[in-house]
Amino acid sequence: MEYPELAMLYSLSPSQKAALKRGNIVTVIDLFLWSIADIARKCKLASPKDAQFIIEVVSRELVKKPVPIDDPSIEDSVAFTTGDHILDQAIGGGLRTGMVWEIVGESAAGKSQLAFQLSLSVQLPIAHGGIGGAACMMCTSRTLPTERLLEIIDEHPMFSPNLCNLSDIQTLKVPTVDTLRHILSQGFPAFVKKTSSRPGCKPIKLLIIDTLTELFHEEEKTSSSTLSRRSKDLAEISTLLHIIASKYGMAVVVLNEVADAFNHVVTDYGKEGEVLYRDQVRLFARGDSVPGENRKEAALGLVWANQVNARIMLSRTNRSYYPEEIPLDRPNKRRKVDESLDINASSSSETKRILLRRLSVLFNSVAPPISLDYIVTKQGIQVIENDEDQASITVVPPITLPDAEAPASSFKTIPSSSELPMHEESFGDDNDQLEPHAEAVNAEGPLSETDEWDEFWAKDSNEDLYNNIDIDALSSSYLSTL
Amino acid sequence: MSQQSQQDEEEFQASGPLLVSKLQEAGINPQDIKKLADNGLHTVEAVAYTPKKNLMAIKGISEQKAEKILAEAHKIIPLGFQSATEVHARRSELVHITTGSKNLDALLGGGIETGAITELFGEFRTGKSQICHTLAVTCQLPVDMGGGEGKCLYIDTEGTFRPIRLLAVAERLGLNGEEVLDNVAYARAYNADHQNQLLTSASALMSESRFCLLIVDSATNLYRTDFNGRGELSARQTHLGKFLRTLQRLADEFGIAVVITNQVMSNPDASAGPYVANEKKPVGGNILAHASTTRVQLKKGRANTRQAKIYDSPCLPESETMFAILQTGIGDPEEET
Repeated sequence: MEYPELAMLYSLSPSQKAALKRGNIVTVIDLFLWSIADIARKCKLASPKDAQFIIEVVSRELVKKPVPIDDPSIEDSVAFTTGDHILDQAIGGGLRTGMVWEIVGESAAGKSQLAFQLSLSVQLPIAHGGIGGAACMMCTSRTLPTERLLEIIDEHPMFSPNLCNLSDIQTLKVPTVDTLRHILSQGFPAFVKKTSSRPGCKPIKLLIIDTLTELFHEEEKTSSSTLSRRSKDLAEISTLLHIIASKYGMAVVVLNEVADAFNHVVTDYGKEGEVLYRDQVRLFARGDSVPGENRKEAALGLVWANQVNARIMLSRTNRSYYPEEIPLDRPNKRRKVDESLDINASSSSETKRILLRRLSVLFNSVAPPISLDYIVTKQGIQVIENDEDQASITVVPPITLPDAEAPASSFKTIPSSSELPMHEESFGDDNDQLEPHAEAVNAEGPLSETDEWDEFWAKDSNEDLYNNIDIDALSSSYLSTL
Repeated sequence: MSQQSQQDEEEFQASGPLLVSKLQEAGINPQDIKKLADNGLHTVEAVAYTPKKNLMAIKGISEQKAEKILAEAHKIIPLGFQSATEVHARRSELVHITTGSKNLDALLGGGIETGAITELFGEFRTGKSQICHTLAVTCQLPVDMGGGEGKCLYIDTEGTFRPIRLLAVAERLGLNGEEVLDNVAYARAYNADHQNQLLTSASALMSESRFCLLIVDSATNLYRTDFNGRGELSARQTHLGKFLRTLQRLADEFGIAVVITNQVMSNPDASAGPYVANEKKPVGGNILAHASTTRVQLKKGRANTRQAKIYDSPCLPESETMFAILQTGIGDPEEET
């Protein structure tokens, strides 16, 4: 971290500067962290009052006057496109600079794909939605799969080789926490300065860390001491990231991994009125907009969650997306039902089937939480437009007492599916199970599935067929059976 | 400047990894260097990538010494930024090791990628170990024939290693059987700690001669038996995480390909309803899922054919193909007429 050097301040007299130099007090922080008596002793000042005086002078010079918020000197942060307009809207007009963003998701959810796409879209000129910047990608394990970057440039309609290229993506291997800390505090600022002074070079406007969590797998055992060290490391790293984000007007994107969320056997209910961590964690580390999405929670705990400005969670779901081009050789209804049931059974014959994934913005300091469906294609991440008002879906489930049955209120949206059975062995779960029962099609099954089917129906031209199903009546009849 | 670094890179590749004894020229005490080597840090890169606290954990290395060693190592291994263009230039030269099946190679984008972890998972008899046996031989081929011109290290946890299978593959490729066997270093791991320990000796072996492939068949077997139930789950995942992190670092340091196999578990939740096939899922949880660069799912097909599917990859699309297990290792299924 950089602090102003005392020798650079104009309000100190030469003799005071000489005295401070004698005492080896170089930066402001040296001055402020020592006690007055120590400073007087180290600098061999006549009395502690002199030291007190120096501190006052320095403080007076350094204090910044409050600025009215409409002052033009406060630069607005800018946002650049993610490469998908719907996603841009969902996260508040694009990826905003000056913030630390987190993309979290299970393996093969598309975290890296989104990161690749961002590293290209930042390079677009302002007219195309970008900010004409360069990207820097710090990889903790794998090397950058550049073939995939080239493929996205080729396939994505917004990118072309003359707008974005590989030479504006810098990459660096960061194998340990120590290295990362060193790079963020010294190497990276120096590098940014160097590139910004070079003519014809795009300024670095995006910093991606892929993936931070990987660095914390070095420990052999987890204990309270390793955890507290991890917290300290995380706090240090995030402080450095925030400094970089605000100082250089940069967007920082950190990729994070997930852990399985367990239904713990509840023994400790805590004090009355107290919200326990395991209940809180649902609010910031898990999505819950579709069944199955809440099986995973973001890693690195509350310490890290407090440090990021926005958390975007990606998950694989067991749902499928069928591109519109499929010829309708059978009556519409049959087709939808049949294919949906075949989700797991006939994967090889279904070449047109694309895995539908779910993106949830769990929290975001510039936009409300939201949930979207997306697919990963050759051109990158593509959000699927939905006729229904997706924004109304609550992403975060209401807190339910662990021992209580799902309260009736939660049926307004989607039942908190923490009640879904979770098998002891399912911690290897990458392919979350939805259990699409046949009954669900007839709208008699658990209501947790109706929303998902609604999405299929929404694409259905024979929509009227289904519109006469009264969800409210069903839900009350379902409740009465409980 | 970039040209310079590329030249350096070429020199580096020609001469192999920089051994830790190089630090002696930088003024590090030979005894300290020996301590580093004894603790599995055989290359300058390994030292540079080790957290300071791990160096300090080595007996006889104080904080000051650790700082000095790290500073010198960082001087030799520059931690500089590279543009993706440079990375791309080097990646296009990246060696891929052929699996013996053209279909499977195409699926994997040319074969098993070096410098990364490839995970093969599937039920028993889906060909996991057969692919490993074939790779142990093909990795010895010259680069222009799809090999890596290096030896293979085979860590076996299930006791399924059969040298006779290697001889069969060698015969098909026209290699001398005895030489092929000489070039495969085999180790049987008996528990999870032992498995982890083997990687330390592996890095010693790799610093001595040119290896290009490390196989762990299977990576999770011992973890399934050594750790039981949910009570030990956290300990198991942490241990597994460290093992995989070490594998990734071996891949980085020595530019080797790492192939691990993984077992599957059935998913009782999934078997609801007659329409849904009971999809088997890989074990090892999120830790393993995140650690593998490429994950390949294997399924049994008709007769000797097997189906392979890309499950996760940063650059390959989710697609699938068929290969066959032949008398002479992995190959393509015969054309149906």
